[in-house]
Amino acid sequence: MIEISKIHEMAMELADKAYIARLHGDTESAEVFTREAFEKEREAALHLVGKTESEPSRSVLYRSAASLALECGEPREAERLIGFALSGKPPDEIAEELRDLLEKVNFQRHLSLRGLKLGPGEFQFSIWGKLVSFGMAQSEEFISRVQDIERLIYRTAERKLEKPFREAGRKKKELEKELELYVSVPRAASFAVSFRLGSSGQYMLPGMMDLSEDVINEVFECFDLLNAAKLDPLEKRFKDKTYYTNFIKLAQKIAPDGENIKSVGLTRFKGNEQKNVVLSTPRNQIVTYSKSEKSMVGAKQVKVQGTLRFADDTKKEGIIKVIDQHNEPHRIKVPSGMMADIVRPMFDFEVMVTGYQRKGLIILEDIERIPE
Amino acid sequence: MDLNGLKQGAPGITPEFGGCLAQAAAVCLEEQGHSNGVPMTIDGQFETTFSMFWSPTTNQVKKCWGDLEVTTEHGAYGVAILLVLKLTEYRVIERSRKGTGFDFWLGRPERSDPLFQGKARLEVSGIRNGDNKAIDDRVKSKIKRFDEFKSTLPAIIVVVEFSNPRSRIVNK
Repeated sequence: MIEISKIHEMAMELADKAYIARLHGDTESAEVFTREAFEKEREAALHLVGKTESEPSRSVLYRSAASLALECGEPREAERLIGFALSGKPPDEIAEELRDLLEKVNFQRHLSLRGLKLGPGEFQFSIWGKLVSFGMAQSEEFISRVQDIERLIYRTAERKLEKPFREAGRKKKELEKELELYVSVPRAASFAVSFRLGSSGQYMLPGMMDLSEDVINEVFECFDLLNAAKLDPLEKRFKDKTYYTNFIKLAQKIAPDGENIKSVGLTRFKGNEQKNVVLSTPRNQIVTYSKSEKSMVGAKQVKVQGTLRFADDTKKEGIIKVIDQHNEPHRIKVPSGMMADIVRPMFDFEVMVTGYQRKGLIILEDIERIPE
Repeated sequence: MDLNGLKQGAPGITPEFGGCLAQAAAVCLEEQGHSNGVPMTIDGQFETTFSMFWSPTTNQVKKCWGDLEVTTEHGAYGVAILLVLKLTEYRVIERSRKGTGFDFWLGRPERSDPLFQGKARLEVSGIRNGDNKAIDDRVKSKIKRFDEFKSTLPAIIVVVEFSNPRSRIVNK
């Protein structure tokens, strides 16, 4: 065990070096150190391969080695190591963490396109979790996300074309004609469909990039920044902050809830390179405020549950009313960017509103539909 | 409580990594407008207050720790490791890789149990800016997970909040 401890210690020191290199932006050294750490940790773990009584040492070392394998881009090796760990007698909670890790490995596998070719205006969307099995998904979880992706695509196109944010009304017919969104039949991966964004080429952006390609680029880059909680650079991409609010709220709706849906993935090709974005942070844990938005944080937070019954979107910032179980109405001010895409689809449904009390009104921060 | 203490390292933490955790915690505290000496209130298993001290951060350090979520998580680890050291008989003895971060294991320095055996887990959660309810929710969600899997491994849960510096310590 002393020798195993020493090898494990070396692995952790290398993992430290990788971490510090990554922190300083030295990705190349980080990759080299991560691989070395993985090889050492696997060596330590393999010393205990038959010693199923050595718990939790055995399962923790295997989980550690599998995490490093996944970080090195070796999902098959990670799967094998998790298999070894689960074949022993891991404590229940380590076994559960190993299964969580296996889900991540499986999701990586499902993100791969299995021979499917995606063009420049196309991307794959997949979901995985408790309500998804091979080729089947709970319809609400899937359809609502597809609709939110469609909203996000058209909002991004309007922003790229420098149109003012549309608080009410339908998107312009000419834009719908210019950017037609198609969805493929679902594939039995985790549960995956391809989106194709057709473009006539009428709108060419500076640099002569096709609008559909540019929109998909932008969506992926914004998700990447949100995923890394880099909110300040993300916010800077949005000249009109209403679009920023709209993006954040739609992204939260698309993100996993952490229970029914554990991961949401987007895959595309940029040149010959496959690009993946995996959203695995549950929507309620996504950091959503940037440095410039912190003024709201000190205010008193309130939560109201009830039925969304009234909406007035005639002004830039609309008002809604939520009627609680005591038939008490609560007036809620909806910040611009949220009424059409976030609030309206929940009209007449039971919702939970989170916001900040200010001058007899609640300023809406978040609204969530309560499952029926 | 001086965050610089982390730079000395521990059996399960290299001085370099300890230094990183100290930087992350310092970035979180400064970004919330605090200066050296700010009190941190501790509740839960222990009721006390510590004055927090750290080396001022440079622009380069702030740039390195630009990722809000990662910085909060690591800052919380730094504070939690020092709190455990100050308030309990445990030390961070070992760690393993979990996801893209680390899992810290606590033990008594005088004992020499085999790797990860006879150790307690350190479960940490960081909140950059939240109220008491946010702390309650984090503690509840950690406990729920332990209960769900009928955990047999002992653990110390530490939730660290940076805006109005507070930490809650719960033994599980």
